[in-house]
Formats: sequence, C-alpha cells, structure tokens
Amino acid sequence: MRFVVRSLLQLVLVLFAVTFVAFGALNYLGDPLFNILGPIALEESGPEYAEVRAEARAQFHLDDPFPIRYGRWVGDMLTGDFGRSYSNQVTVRSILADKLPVTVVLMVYAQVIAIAVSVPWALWTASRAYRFGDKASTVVSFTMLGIPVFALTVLLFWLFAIRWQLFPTRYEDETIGQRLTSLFLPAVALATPLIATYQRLLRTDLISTLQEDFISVARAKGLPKWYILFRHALRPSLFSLLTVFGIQVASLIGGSLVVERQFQIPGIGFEVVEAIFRDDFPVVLAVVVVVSVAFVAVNVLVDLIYTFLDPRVDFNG
Amino acid sequence: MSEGTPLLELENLSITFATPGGPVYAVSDVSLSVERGKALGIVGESGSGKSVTMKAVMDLLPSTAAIGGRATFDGIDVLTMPSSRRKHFYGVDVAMVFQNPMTSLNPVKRIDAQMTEGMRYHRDLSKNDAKKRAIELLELVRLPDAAGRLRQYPHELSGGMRQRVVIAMALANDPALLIADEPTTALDVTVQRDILNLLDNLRTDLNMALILISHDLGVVRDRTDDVVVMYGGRVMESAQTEDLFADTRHPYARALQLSIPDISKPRGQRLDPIPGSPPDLSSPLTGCPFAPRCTFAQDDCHSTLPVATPVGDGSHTFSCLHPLGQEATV
Amino acid sequence: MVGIGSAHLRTDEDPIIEVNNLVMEFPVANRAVVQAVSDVSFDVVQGETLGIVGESGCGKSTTAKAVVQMPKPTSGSVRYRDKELTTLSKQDLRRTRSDLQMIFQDPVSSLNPRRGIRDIIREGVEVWGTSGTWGEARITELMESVGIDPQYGDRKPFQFSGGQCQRISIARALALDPYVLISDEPVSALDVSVQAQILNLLEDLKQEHQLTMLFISHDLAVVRNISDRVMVMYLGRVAEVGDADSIFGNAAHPYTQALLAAIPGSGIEDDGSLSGELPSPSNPPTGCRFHTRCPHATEVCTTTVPEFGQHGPDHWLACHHPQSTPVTLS
Repeated sequence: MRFVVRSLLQLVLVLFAVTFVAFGALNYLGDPLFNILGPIALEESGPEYAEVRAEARAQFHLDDPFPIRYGRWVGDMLTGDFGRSYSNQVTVRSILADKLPVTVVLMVYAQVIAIAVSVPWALWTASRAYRFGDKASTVVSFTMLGIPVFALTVLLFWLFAIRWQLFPTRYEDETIGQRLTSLFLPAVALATPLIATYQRLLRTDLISTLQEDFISVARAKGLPKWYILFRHALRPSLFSLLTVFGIQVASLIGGSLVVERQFQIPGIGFEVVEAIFRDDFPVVLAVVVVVSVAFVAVNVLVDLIYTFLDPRVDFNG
Repeated sequence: MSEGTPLLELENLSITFATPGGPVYAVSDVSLSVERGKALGIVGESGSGKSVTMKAVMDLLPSTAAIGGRATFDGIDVLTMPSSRRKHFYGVDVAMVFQNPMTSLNPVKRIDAQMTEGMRYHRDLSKNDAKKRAIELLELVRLPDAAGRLRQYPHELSGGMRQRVVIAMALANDPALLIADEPTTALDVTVQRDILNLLDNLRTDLNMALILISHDLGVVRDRTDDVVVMYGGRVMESAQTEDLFADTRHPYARALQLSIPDISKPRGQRLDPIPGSPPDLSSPLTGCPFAPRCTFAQDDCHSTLPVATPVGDGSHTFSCLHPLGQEATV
Repeated sequence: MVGIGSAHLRTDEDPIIEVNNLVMEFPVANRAVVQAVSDVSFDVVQGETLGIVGESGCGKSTTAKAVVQMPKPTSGSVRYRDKELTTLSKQDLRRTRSDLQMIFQDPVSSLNPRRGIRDIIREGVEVWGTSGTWGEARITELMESVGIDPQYGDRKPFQFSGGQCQRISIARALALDPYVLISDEPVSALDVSVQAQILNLLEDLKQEHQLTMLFISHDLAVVRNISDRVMVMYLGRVAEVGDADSIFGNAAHPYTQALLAAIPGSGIEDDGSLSGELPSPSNPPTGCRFHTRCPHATEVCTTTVPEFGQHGPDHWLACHHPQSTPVTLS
C-alpha cells in the first residue's frame, strides 16, 4: 500500500515539475500567436488585423497571467483535455491517438532488441572475462557507444535499405509484418547504444557476482557451467542493468526524435519536433506529460522488478 | 599418517599462480592423505596454502593456477580425470563446505531450489523426491522446522542455520569425502560447537572422510585423527593429532600453540608472538619458509630446503633441520 | 535478562567513563525496532581495561560506539570525566572526541587507501588543528612505537599486511593523545601469530600512554588476556560484570558458563544448554532475556527482569538463579 501511495506521489511531483518548467519555457521563449494566425500575428502587418489578433488572444487565453494559464491547462489536462493544436485546430488527443502507438512500438522494439542482444553477449563475455573474446567485445561495445545516432541512422539506411534493399525505404504499416520490418532499422539504430550500455553494465556485475562464495558452492556441487551462469549468476547481477533500463526511457525518446525524422516515421517524435518549431504549445506539453508518465511508470515497474529479483529488497522500505 | 588405504591422497602437490607481478608459489610439494571415516585437520595461517590445496582438489582454482604433482581419489587421478568421470565427481564423491555461511547461499534463490539442484542434476531425482530428500537432510543436520525452511530465502535464517543448510546441501549425494574450509570461523563460539559436533556425528554415522581446514588449533585438536600443519605453502609437520600436540617437533607448530592466549591463565600473561610477517611467496624459496621468523633458525635454514623427516614409525613427520626435542613439548 | 539497576556501578571510585541506562534502538522494516542495547550501565576507572564479550548481536559493539556518540544513544547518559556527552553541542563533542579514539576490526578498510601512511597518521592531528605543536619527529616516534619502520611512511595501506595495517591504525589513534582507546574486535581479522603481536603492543602502549581501554571481542581467551574487568552481554543487556579473574574463575551466570563451556578445548563438559537460536533483538523475550535458552530457567525468569546482585567483592550478575558451582577451565 505504501508502495502504491509513494509511486503516485512520485508521479504527481514529477509531472508538476516537468510541466511547470516546460509550460514556463514555452511561454517565455516562443510566440504562439504567430503560429495560430501566421504573418498577420505580427504588429508590423498592420493595424487592420488588430481585432483578429485580439480575438485569437482571447480565444486561446494568451493574455491571462502565467499562473492562471498554467492552472487552467493543468485543470483541463486532468480531465483528459489537452486542448487543440494551435496550427490546425485538431484536438491534441487525436494527434496522440494517431501518432503515439507507432512510437511506443518503436521503443519497445528497441528495448527488446537491446535486451535480447546484450544479455547473452554479457553472459558470454563475463564467462571469459579478460580473455580475448572479452577484450574484443569491449572494443566493439565502445564503438557502438561512440557512434552518434544520426550517423548510425544514415549508415543503416544507406546500407540496408538502399544498397542491399533488405528493408523498405518508406514506412509501411498495412500489416503487422510490414510494420515490424519498417521499424527494424530505426529500432536497431535506437538499440545500438543501449546494447553496448547494457552489455557493459551486466558484464561488470556478472564478473563480480562470479567471485561470490555461492558461485564456488555451486561449482563444488558439480553443477555445469551454463547452469551456474544462468541460474545462479544472472539474477543477482541484473540490478545496474535494470536501473539504467528505467532511466533510458528518457534518452530513447530523445533518440526517437532523430530516428523518426530520418526514417520518415509518423510517430510522436516526428510530430513533436514539428510542434516545437511551430511553438505549438498544446502538442508539446501533451508529449511532455506522456513522456513523464511513461518515465515514472517504467521506473515504478523497475522498482517492482527489484523486489522480484531480490527477496531482500523491502517492498515498502 | 595412520595406516590403511587412503581415500584421498595428495603427492607432491604444487600450485603456482600466474600474476602480472610474476608467479606466486602458493603451494609447494604438499603430500597428505585421509582415510574413509577419518578426520584430517589442516592447520595454518592465511597464506599457508591450506585452502588453495583443497580448492585444487575441488577444481575451484582460476585458470591462472598451474597444478603439479598428483591427487588421487580412490585410486583415480583427480587432476587428469576423464570428463565422463568428472561430470559426476564433484558434489557426489567429494563435497565442500565454506567459511562464510552468510555468503555461501545464493541470496535470491529459495532454500529448496538450492538444496535440490545438485540431486536433480547428478541423480536425476524428480522434483518431489528431491524435496523429500532435502527435508531428510535438513532433519539430519538438525535444523528445526525443516519442511518450513524450504520455502524460505537465506536471509531469513541465522548464520548457524545457514551453515547447517550448507552442510546439508553438501551431503545431498552422500559424499565419501567432505572438505570443510573454516566452517565455524564466521560463527559464534556456541554455534561453532554445535556445528563441529554435527560434523563429528555425520562423519561417524555416514562413514565419511572429513578434511577440516582451520586456523584454530583448538578446533582441530578436539576433532581430528590426524593433523597437517602448513606454512608458506609447505607442510611443516604432519602427525596423528595426539602426537602432534604431545611431541611437537617443528618450531612453527610449537610457536603457533604458544601464540594463542590461554584462557585459564590470569591477566597480564605475556604472549609469545611469532615475530615478523607472513612470507612472500612470489620468489621460490631456497630454504625453510619459516626461517626468517624462527627463533631457532641457523645459517643452513636459509639455504637448505628441509625434507620430511619421520619420527618413530613414520606416521609423524616434520620438515625442519633443527627440530625441537622431546623436552620441548607443551 | 539481565541487567537492570545500577547496583554494580562503583560509587567509591572516580570513573573516567560512566554509562547509565543506555538504550540504543534502531528502526527497521515494517515498523519494527531493533532493541540493540537496553538499559545498560557500566563504569570504567582511569587506567583500567574493560573487556566486553558476547555473541554477535548482543550489543557489545553498539554499546562501545554509543560511548563516542556514534550514533547518539536513544536514551541514557554517557559521562566522560565531568562532561555529559549525550547533551554536548556538536562542536564540543567534536573536541572531546579526540580524547576517545577507536580502532576497528578491519584494519585495511579503515585506512584511506589513497594516502601514504605517514599522512594517515598525521591527518587526525591536522583536523584537530593542533599540528603546530606537532613535529614530524613525533610521527616518526609513533611509527616506531607501533613497530612500523618510518622509512616506509610514503607507502599506501595495501602495501602492508593486515597486522601492520592494524599497527598503523593504532598509531593514528594514538596521534591524538587520547585518554580512552576503544577497540572493536581489533584482532579478530588477524592471524593468530600476528594477533599475539597486536595484543602485546596494545598492552605496552596502554602502560606507556596510561590509556583506559574498552576492548570488545567475541574471543574470550583474548579478552581474558587483556582485561582487568569483564562485562558479559546478552541480547542488549548486561549478564555479568566484574573483576576478570572472578568472572572467568567463578562465573555464576548460566550464560557466562555456557560461553566458557563452548570454547574448543575448554575441557568443560558440553551440556548443550546453549543450542537453540538467539531470539530476535526486535522482539526480545520477556523477563530475563536469556530464559529461552537457559537450562536453569523457572517461572520467575519469564516474567521478571532480574536486577543486579553482588556475587563477590567485584562481581555482579543479573540472574534469578545464580549458579554456585563454578565452571572450571582446565
């Protein structure tokens, strides 16, 4: 019970802090009126549009003081109303409903690939720590960490989509199969730094777990090597990986901004980049809310997994 | 050593570790043996090689270790065993209990999983049979509420209880030899006595050979048939336990006895410490490893490696050029 | 059990440390509270060594740390000379702490691994701002007095053995010219041969610097060797306290007797009275806390906390049924 209360409290605090900062920044740095009205929003365009400007300002409550506008926005948000996009008057909810699923699939896809590759790789390197295979792996994983996502995207796109034509050059989503194929390269681009990060973390934790007495005990029981690795060493070594898994949700979203744009995927990352350029507050703020909720939710999940991984972790502590 | 066919016999076992700073000669020329149903004590301080020797037998050394000499178990060469024999040797013929019960159990696995995995792997027992056997074993080591413990995690048990679980786990496949590496060092004296009594009883009841590794002469004195005293990776003295204490020949074995505070003596009793620090094993020795700290050392001790010299019938040997005589006994 | 009231405190002498009704409680999960120390009173006279013994979890270390307010006790009073430490301001406490120095069980991890040992010894003095009166000659002298060659002053702790590190931490403690030295299991992690060196060193330094000592150990033989008076603790309370010779030669508390009997080679018949688990310190037994494991317990023991009674000139115990037949160590 205390756990649930604490998680909710955490969610509220994070949401408040993040939206407050985002709302403030957008209001002070951008000019929404320009996006709503176009060039006529500027004073220089002439006094004849003053009325239109005033109308728009009233409609979108742009003249109210900051706390009132923030308060109104929070109130609407709590009822599920994220407002309408300044640029085309479409409700933000329908934008989210339209674009969010693609991005969620992309991110889950990237995490699945990252875990599926990094865990076996880490097990393999930890079991031969400091030998040749491990040292070579270190070079590979540092390379993976060093490549910027945009460069990797370009490279993957050119090699696999254009040169070898193994994957489509355009996003297709008629069937699930098409969707997964189209998203494969972007997901790999997002997963690459994650794979390297997870592999490094898990390898280090595994190496220290393998020094533990209970591993000697298991070996003295005559259990085979693979059994000890999977059944004794893996679970107690997952903590750093899991912690970073939770935190990576944030950087994955950052990565998706780049990747979706480059692969022309109609996801929320693509949308939010556009929205930022347009000073389209409602859209940007809605995305900020979604990202914060997702971040807190994933990290609550991570906390839950801790208690499952290690019975000594106190659920309510 | 006493007569009879040895179950485990080490002949001139040597272990060298390759380290970035050069080789470390951890164990040199160690010979010892233990028979079925008997208890052998191996006594020494840290760095004496007592644990490393037994880890070599258990195949627990890292790949940087080079092992020389012979180790035979029931006539089979342990170090060159074919893999078909190896597969069901550790955890079946030989089992081991370690020093720290707090870290010997996997913290994230329940007791039942840890107890049954060995039986299920080596003897292909069904889950239920393995659980039944686990309860029997926990009762054998007198853990209260054996059946209830199976569903618990290690952190829910006290240190003494955990060591009982570790011992029960080691007994799972009826080993002929149990190696206990400082099994009570991390435990309170009152618990220590219980665990040592338990090991004694199990050895007699199951006709098992027991190797008890300890730094504590007091522990070994009461509980073993034979003792090997090690220092600097070598055997200093080896004898039936009674003889070793009654007729100590090696100055190190004697100094070790003298350096322990005697609880029956009143306050202010000046202790006789062994001067100096433990030996550096990174250079091969030309003489006796104890010579730099030995009050009886003479010039030849630093240049001549002493060989095992028998006393009487040969069950008692010491490696010293200037041994203590009969009058030096404690 | 055991141990309420202050009948055992010496009123005729002038204690340098007087602890009254000390209580230490720590909150743990699920709103439970570990009662680590419950109503403990004792005093230490200038120049005396008080040994505190008991099994792990008895509160001996917590008691010692409470004396230096690490952390501040839950309740009770700790007087050092004429100062009440529990109500002292942070700044005054900091100043007083240099009079009360501690050394710990693990000598290697209690030294900063990145500093040379000379710096480590000097460090405390600098913190106290008294280094002006301090010359390098004094540090050299200190290093010599603990048996560390001053020419190795630039080496880091890892370049020394465990015993040498303990010597360095003793030098560091003595650098502040303390009046009281609190030693928490200072030799438990050391090999027996080195243990004797450190015990002798502590004894010499105590004479030389006229130190008062609190010496915590689970090893009764070690405590016997070094202590003038002994305090036996069980589950957060004092069981028996008094002159060391009287406690060891004439132990009357069933718990002390059981502890002595459990020592390997004590020669005392094992009546098995101490088998069974230590109760949880977050839910200690009512009445005498030892009654669940005591062979002599009766009805009254389960209901009433025993008060201290006098058993000899300087020998006190809290027990409803003091044992008249003393255990004798062989």
